[in-house]
Amino acid sequence: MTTLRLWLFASFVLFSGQLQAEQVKPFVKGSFSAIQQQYEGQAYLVLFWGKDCAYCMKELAFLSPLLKANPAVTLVTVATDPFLDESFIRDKMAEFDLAEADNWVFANEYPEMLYFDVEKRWRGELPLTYLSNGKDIVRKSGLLKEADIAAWLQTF
Amino acid sequence: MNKFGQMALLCLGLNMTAPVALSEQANDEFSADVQPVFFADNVSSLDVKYVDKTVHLLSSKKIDGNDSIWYQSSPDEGMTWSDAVNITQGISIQARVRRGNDARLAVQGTNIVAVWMTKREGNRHNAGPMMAMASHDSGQTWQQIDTPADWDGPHGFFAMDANAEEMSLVWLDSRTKIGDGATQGLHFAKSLDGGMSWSANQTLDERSCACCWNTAKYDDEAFYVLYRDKDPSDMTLGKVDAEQQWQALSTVGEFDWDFQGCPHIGGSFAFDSQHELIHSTVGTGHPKKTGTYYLRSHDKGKTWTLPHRLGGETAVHSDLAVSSSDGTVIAAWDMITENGFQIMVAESDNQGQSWSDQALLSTSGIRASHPRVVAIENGFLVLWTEGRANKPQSLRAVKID
Repeated sequence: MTTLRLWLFASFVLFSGQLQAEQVKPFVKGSFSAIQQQYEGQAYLVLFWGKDCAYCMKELAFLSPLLKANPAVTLVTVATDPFLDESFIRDKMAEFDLAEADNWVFANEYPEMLYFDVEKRWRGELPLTYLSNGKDIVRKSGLLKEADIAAWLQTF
Repeated sequence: MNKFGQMALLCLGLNMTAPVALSEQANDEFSADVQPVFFADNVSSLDVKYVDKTVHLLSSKKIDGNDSIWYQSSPDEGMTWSDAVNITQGISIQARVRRGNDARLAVQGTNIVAVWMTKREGNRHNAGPMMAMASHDSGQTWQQIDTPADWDGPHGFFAMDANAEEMSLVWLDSRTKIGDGATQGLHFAKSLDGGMSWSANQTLDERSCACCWNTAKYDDEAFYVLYRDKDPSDMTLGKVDAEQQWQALSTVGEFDWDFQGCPHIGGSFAFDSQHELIHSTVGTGHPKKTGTYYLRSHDKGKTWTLPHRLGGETAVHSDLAVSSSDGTVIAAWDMITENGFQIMVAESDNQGQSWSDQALLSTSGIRASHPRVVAIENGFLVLWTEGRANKPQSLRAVKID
């Protein structure tokens, strides 16, 4: 009986995690604050990306092995193309072996209103990455250097 | 603003409550008369030129899911317009156009050429090679012409202009391999027969911004190009001379913006032959200097004045034009507010030495972006698109006297 309960619990946890990874959440006004609250006290990285942004693809490509080696750090991705097809996002993340990331998509037909909500100075330049050690958060505009992100991850 | 201007703006539903002036040397209130002159639906991109006292307008539309490119003209400064001609009538096209990567045109007498990026499924970003059409009867009939590009890959971010003898085009493509991958660069072709044939392509800069719009204009025999460079990601002005020699002249706004990414922001410039000036607007995302700036050059683009900020930190896409009669300069830009993009405008009546307060030109609460400005015989036209992002939008034009 105990074995069955453990199996059921493990299955539930696995299923919940899978569900979270498969869901693409709508990013609206206040979502960035919500993400910061959700991961408060944990190490995480928020990457804003676009489907036509080649630099974003480069960043996604080198993040996967680095994050796999540092499972304590959560990756949050936000697609900035309004209402980008969820299956496209899931496929793209799977392509980069990042299927377990916490994925969001801009859910506003006025994307610049979300830029403004994330940070008043942001004008949509991509990629945009926020790195948090659970306490402080650092903004990086443009493609991160692989060596820099590796060095940051090694601090955990 | 006089009563006429206020009336016109009220008709448009525009809110002219003056926002806080953010320009560094703002002085006078923006006082020009503004009159709505044009409106169109389902517009995905636009380009406009004023040549031989005629306004030439190129727009792309998506109607019932089908892409098409349209041309029309106005002989009276935008007050009346010819019937719109679908220049791709009978041709199935897939245009990959949007504001910031618009279909573009050049006008040379009765010759008009239009170019745009096509869509090619399966390519990266579904970006395809350019497609070009030409008219030799002032836009009444059109035919597809050979592509100006001699490399079969995706081409985009076009800028084109003509003088009496030649027509020139610049664009971005990634034919050049540098290091471990393809690199987007600035390329050039010229036509001496109204767009029917084009020169071998010339690479002007092997490395440029991958996704920023370019601006190009003739001044006598020289074809000037303003584009976003790499390392740093500031704007560079250069020219192709009559011997087809490229010369990079200067950085317009030395912000030293180190950015490896997609800014999607270019710049504008206009010649004032009467005062021997070049006026320019450029944008930067430098963390300490974010915004849109005006600069002018007294020596044909070799050096520039210090940047003068237009609007606030969230000013993004800009354009300007200069009156050939009195040197008045009008600059327009969009600015991000908590309600989305809004179009702002300011004028300078002393060749850019100082600027009026900025004024809101678009309707408050309606997303409006990517303004274009053209100087006409008696004033200026400012055009922009408004509506939801990534959807066909409405094109609106106003005349400023």
